[in-house]
Amino acid sequence: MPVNIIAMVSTETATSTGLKTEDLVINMGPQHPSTHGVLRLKLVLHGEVIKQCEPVIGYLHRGMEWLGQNRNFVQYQALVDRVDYLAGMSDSHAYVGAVEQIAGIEVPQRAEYLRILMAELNRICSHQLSLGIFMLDLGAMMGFPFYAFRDRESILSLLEEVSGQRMMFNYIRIGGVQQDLPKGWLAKAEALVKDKLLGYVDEYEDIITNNPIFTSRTKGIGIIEPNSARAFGLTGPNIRASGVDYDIRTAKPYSRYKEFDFKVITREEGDIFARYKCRVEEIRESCKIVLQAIEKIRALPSGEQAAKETELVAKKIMPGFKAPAGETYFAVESPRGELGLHLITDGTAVPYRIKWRSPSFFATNFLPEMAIGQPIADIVAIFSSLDVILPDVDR
Amino acid sequence: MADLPIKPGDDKLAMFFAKKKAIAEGKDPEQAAKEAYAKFHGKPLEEAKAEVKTEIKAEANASVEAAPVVEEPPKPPKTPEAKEFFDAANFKVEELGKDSSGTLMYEVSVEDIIQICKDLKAQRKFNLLNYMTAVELKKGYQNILRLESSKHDEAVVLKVTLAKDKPVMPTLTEVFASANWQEREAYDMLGIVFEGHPKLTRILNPDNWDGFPLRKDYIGPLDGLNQPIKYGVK
Repeated sequence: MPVNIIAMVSTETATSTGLKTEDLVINMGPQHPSTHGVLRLKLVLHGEVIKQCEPVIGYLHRGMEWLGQNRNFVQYQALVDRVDYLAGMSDSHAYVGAVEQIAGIEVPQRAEYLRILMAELNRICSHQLSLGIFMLDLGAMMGFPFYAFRDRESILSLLEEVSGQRMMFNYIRIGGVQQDLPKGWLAKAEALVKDKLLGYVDEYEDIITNNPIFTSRTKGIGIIEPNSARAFGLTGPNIRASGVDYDIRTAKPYSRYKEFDFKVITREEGDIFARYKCRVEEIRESCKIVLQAIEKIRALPSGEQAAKETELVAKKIMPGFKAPAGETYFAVESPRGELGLHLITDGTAVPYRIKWRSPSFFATNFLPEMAIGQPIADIVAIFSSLDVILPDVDR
Repeated sequence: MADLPIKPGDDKLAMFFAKKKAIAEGKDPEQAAKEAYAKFHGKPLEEAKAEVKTEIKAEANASVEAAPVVEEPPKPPKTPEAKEFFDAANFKVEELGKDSSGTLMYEVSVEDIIQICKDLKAQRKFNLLNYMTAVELKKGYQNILRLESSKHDEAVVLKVTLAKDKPVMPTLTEVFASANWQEREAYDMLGIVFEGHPKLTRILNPDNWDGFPLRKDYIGPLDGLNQPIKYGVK
């Protein structure tokens, strides 16, 4: 795969007038609008070309692992959504999945479908936001970002109806989900996906995909070479846009993803445009999964009697819940890639060790590999296309 | 879905101008537009639309007539690749059984870890370091590595126990590219020193932070700003 690298020249170059040029050190961030949080990049420039790039992270470090190790399993549930605040459902799913795997808890069918339904809705709005801010970073100040934010809000209000919160849901709990759906929610969700979301995606494509300004800034730029990216642990749409068919939903199916029919979107080019296109297509696939999940939930028995006879949603887990001593790793496909949790327990009510394997951490580690040799104007586009979210990096 | 054969731009422009001309000349503008399209593409507009429709139908039919899923007979259980490797190789290892996700775990010694990782990468299919972490146990600090195959169908967990008074192990950055920041995090949180690491500094905590937060004997600053707490001072 050809890599777009501008030839680097020596530190000091003599020009025809006898003047010498020097390297310039630029501090990008931490308070930079296009760093998606608080990231600092130390850049060494030769002219307009980046010679060195060093990400400095930790500005949003909240000690999520320490907090987990000093709270019991039930208390920590409420904090987990903050790891990656754009995909709280995926975070909860990873944490809860790990605890259930150690404790051997079986989750009711209805709760599994509800989890998948919520996680996919969450994925759609995460991708919409990433599209919006991506265009913002490319300079589309007015117009497009508002489309994405408008559409995202319609999903968030649905999720709020279910869980009581816009973003920090705390909906997926150990053993199931917090509560059943409100009356008429399924019809609302179905109408939203069928009548609006799919149309919205076409709208995005009409605005962006053939836009000559957009394509000239994205095609052939920031190419990810699949092998080196995999060695760096890059996952999610970033690696799928380079032709690697790796999606945990199909590679190591968790929950009940085996029963769903969807495509893993891959593209061969590996440039910024391919990553954008991958995300847009993934929104469509997620819509498909949401509709299937709605159908499956409708087919299950419902009503008060059924709820009494079989636990449709979940068995209540008490705060004194103790997981047996053990160790596990549970990974889910978050909108940004492989989000996993390594959990070690010692038989008490408090986790012994929690380790988050967050996809953005690995993507930020990979950033210098992409940035070096590129013009400074492209670094914002490249970084934005990785869809890194800084709370996920710093935890 | 198949792309419409109408490209944005030129043909539409041609149709537009044909319409304008037809109106000026008092002819039927729709007819003129169709003629312009046919002249541009070499086939009339209806034909092009009909082609797209049949394509879509064919696609829909194909998805309906998908072959019924045939259940494959269960394969005989294969020996895990990691077990094969450790049985054949001459390393001092201890098998720790499986974790709850079904991954084999092995305890290996500090001296062998680099060679084992290199061999697993070169001879076997474990060429990715998924993540690395560390934990404090009673017997010492334990480094946990999870290696995965490139097809992600198999994984193995390696554990290295380091003495509490000297938690030092060689760096894996030369074997796995993703080890760089992982090792910095393990150093930052638990104070494990990786010999030969290109830049072993704190990564998540500030550079002047005292202590290693995930050690069990760590007492954090109460004000959260790494300042000594002054009692009785206004």
